[in-house]
Amino acid sequence: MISNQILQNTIEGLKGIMRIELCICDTEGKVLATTFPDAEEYEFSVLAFVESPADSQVIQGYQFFKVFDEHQLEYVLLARGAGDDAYMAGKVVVFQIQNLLVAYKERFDKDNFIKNLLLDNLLLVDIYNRAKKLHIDINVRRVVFVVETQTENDTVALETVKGMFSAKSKDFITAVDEKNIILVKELKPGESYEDMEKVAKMLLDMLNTEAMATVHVAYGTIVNEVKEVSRSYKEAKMALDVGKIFYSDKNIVAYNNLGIGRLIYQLPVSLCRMFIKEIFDGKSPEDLDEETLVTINKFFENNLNVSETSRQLYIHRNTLVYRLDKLQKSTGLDLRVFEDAITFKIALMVVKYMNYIETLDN
Amino acid sequence: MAGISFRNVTKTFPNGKAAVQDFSLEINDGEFVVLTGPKGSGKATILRMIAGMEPISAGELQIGDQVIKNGRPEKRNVGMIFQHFTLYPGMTVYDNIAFLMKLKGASEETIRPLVEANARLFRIEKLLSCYPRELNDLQKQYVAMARANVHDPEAFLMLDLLGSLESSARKRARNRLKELYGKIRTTLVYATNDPEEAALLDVRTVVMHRGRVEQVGTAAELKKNPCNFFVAQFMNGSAFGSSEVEIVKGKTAVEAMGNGFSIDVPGEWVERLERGGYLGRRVLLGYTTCRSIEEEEAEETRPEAGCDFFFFDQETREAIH
Repeated sequence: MISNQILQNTIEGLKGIMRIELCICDTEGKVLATTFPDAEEYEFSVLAFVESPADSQVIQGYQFFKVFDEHQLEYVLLARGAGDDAYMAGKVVVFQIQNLLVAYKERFDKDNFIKNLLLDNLLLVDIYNRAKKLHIDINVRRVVFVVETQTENDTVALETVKGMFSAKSKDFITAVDEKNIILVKELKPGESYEDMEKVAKMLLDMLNTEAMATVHVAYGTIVNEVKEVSRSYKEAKMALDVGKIFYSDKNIVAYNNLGIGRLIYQLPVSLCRMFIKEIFDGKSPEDLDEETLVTINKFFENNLNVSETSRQLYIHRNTLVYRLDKLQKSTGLDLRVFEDAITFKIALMVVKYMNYIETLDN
Repeated sequence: MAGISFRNVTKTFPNGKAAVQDFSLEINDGEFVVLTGPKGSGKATILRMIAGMEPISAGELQIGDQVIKNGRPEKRNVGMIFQHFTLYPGMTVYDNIAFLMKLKGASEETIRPLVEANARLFRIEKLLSCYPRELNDLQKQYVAMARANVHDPEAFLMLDLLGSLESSARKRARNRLKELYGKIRTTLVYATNDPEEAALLDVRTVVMHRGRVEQVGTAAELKKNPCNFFVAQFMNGSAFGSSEVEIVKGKTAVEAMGNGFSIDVPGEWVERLERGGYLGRRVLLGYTTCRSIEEEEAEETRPEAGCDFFFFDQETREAIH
């Protein structure tokens, strides 16, 4: 239903134009919005008017109107004055509220449609029929962004995103759970993943600075048809998960940049365990001491460059070589050799994934 | 806001990546400080830690009276404007500035005077009824600043704010920023990738690299007396060249012999090189060229008379003192 805030804004705006005091009550006489004090005094008159067959009537110096929504009485409007002016002004306000009801329902329907579309709750034939009915283009490129907030039901974050995109009516903003805001964005011709990265950065910066919200943003691949929107959504959700496991230093994760993490994320845990057992002979890379792990990570970051790594770690080159030799002795893997380095890198990622699954199980 | 103190602060992400390492810095109450460094040097993480959006992994961060040893600082009333700021396209400038206050339920009587006062401060009072599409980039930025300032923040945190503007607009925005700082005198931390921007703002500048503080000083000091090769290269930008040379004592002067060139080592460096025992050894020579860009593009640059020279230890890359 339309919020009382919107009703209040509407009648205040109309009062500003027409200079007539207005009040909106529900069918039980409760005041929902008013521009004048003591509107509660008219409760009994409203109840009597609701029971009467008249659509409009002058009572106690006010013009009473019934506001219908598809033949169902929704509100009673009071406009101060008994003359023609009050009658005409009242009719204008009734017309405006009825249009608000239609717009709200259309929006609600769209929101419902998008939610069901994202969650794969629609048959293919329904997708096309309902999209057509709701004037949603079928063959337009779209991408789904998921914004994960740290706190549940973060209304400031949601309103900020709505403020950023709602002016463009072809983008949809919705939420299917308490911590995720979903943006289904329609792409303009020529827009690419580079532009989507900019949109993600804009979302992140705005939510950080305006809503002061700590968020993670993920997005799926660009799809060409409305029926594929759910795929883009699932990819974005997966990107969020994979990002948490492997790229926790990043606040923006794109599905098509997940690299090998995407592959590992889909491996069965039993296979992962077997792999780690074979590589490390029953041990875990996590058993390595902190210093060795920092060395390994830095060595990978610097593309296996010994000089650069030793410089960044503020150690002598020979110290780094000694550490790498020691690691080779304990694991049999020489990180200076590409094949061994990639095996080790994958093993480290697999262990991270297994740890993540364990935290989910607990 | 009172001052901000970072004492040996480290930020390591769960995937092992260290964004900030052993970072120490004192920012005084009401001071305007620039953080500069290449992409990935940890500037944004520092700002996010100040704002209470990023927990610290080790060390101590003191903001005013609040000391955080491990964990997330409280969210603070800071005004943040980051590079990819945007305005709400469907709202007027007035509504853009008032949006958050309206959302929090403030009354129109409270909101209007605040919005109007901030609009006057940024000289955008005539734009209040305009929509963002009617504004140029500079005006949009003033609106973003007014929007951040309307909440009376204890500190301003800005990330590459001027980077997206073209040069003349950038100059005006920079002046307006300094003018604003002169009026509000609140702590202002400005992070930028661009050392020239830092030089033009002409305030205390912190050069960061790989999450660490490399050197602190005014941009002029950092350019003239860099503590290491990185600072010299970063602060002098495209005007900087380098070459490996051997320090040789000639008959009349100490010379730096490079590949196909030799220069007389300036007097002040001779003493330092001798003191450090670098005679007869190879060192890293840094120099700032005084040629135009066209000349530089035409041929490979070489050190020559008129350049500023710096000498660095080849192993540690520290400046020779």
